[in-house]
Amino acid sequence: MSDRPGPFDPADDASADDQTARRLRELLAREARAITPSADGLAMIREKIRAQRPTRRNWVRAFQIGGAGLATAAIAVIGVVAVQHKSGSTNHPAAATAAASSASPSPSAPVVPPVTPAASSAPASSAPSSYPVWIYYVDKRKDPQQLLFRERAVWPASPQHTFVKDAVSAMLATPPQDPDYTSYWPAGTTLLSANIVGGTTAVVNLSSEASNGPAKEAAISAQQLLYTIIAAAPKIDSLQLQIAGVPVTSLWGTPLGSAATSSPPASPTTSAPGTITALPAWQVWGHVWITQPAENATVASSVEIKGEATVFEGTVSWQLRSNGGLLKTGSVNADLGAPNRGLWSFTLDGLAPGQYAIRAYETSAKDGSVTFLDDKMFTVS
Amino acid sequence: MTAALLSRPGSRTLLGQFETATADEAVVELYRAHYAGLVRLSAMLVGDVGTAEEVVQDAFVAMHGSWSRLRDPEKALAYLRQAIVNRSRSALRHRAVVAKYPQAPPPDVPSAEHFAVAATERDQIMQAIHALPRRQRETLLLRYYSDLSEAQIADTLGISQGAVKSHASRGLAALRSLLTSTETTP
Repeated sequence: MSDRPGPFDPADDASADDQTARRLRELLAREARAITPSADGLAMIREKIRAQRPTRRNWVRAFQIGGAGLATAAIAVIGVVAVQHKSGSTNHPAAATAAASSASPSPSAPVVPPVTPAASSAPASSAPSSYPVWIYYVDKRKDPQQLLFRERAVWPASPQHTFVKDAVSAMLATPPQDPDYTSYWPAGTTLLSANIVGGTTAVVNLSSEASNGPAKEAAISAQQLLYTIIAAAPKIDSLQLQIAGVPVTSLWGTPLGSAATSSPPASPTTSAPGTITALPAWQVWGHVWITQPAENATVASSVEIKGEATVFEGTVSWQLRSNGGLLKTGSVNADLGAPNRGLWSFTLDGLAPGQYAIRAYETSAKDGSVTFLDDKMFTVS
Repeated sequence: MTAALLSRPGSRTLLGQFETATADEAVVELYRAHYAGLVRLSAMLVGDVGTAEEVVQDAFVAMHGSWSRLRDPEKALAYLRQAIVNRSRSALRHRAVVAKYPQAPPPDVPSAEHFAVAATERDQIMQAIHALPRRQRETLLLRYYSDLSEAQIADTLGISQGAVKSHASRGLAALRSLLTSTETTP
């Protein structure tokens, strides 16, 4: 016997409200499901952003990529100071002064990072000499084809804030942490210069070492370079490559530009010979990425596994392994299914100390096999 | 250079992971996580998907332009919601006819086919929602579709939490007879 009215007692106002609310929720969810947003929303937003008049921020970025020159560096740094004051954030005023003073180094030493006395007199904030950059690598596994994966690396911050140069230099100099990834750019290749033309095309000049590489991997390596640039400067969508100052229309014996790819780029107007257009992510990124934990990370007994995926209906399968044995298996839904890039995550709890491998993949619709695998080793301390 | 590096425009923050990033990256992240839901919200507010897409895209562009002020995905999402509700409101104001939810009742559906019936019921409810006063309609959609808290709704609509409560209960009361009579599952 209960002295409370039953949950579905029609006389109970609160219960009737609950029922109405529940029904409304269902109906709205169903109505929403019948509404299908178009797939090109992001492209439209980018187009609209681009169509807007350039802001000071764009100016700063334009100078950041192009400018090793003194004048441009000075303008960029002054722009930064102005924005800081406007945003009224927690910036240390002394540091802002230091930034301003670094804008006018002596002409004889333009490349050397200027000494900033104010920074040393502000012990509260330890000066960051490096910052994180994203680098794309090529998967060694042909699973079933070679695709791009992304890792985070730490790179020295240049006083000129040359994000694109930093990203390309980092890519050329940093081996991947994950042993399944590689880069086919020849050892010793260095960046000579990088500029932006027309707002969206990066012109990258690499040293002569870049001229010899495996022909089969040329197309994906060009996309690797371009996506590494895009990660640093998202407005970029195409790349013109130079080797030792000479514009090239083929790389490692493989023609570059639209001719190099089986599928034509979305807008044929931009396909000048030798211009590498960014292929859509679903074509060149690994279909499943594990973005957390990083390879060989040390984590607590409860660890959140995060990633991205372009898979059918967003379904990502996973396995947790230890000492070669299978411990747990499951699947998780990315928030968007193919052809969109969805985000997914789940948490593993109560892991005993030890070494683990997490594998995430798409189960083949054809035969149930493991495809588009990514895996990370990690240690629970 | 410390502070300059920490907050220079176009840089990723050095404090966190990558939750806060450049305006461009914020657009991509928020697009992935929320675009579909926001278009659906706007579509239910204005009754038309094409208009809703325009509204949401323009809100993203405005958010991109205001990123230096927002610098935080949570704030940016709140900004997007606000912009979308406001822009949906003006889109609706500028249109004489709402095609998707006609004011005339739909003809009787002779077929007993389940989906046809279900769609008609849904249309009736959506019509009823559109016949509600604006604030009640917005409150119900934000509460029961977007799943926002009273505080978030108050923030989005620029009204007090008390007003949110009363709009929600009045709106729900107006729909109650329709919603309980169309109940198909116990």
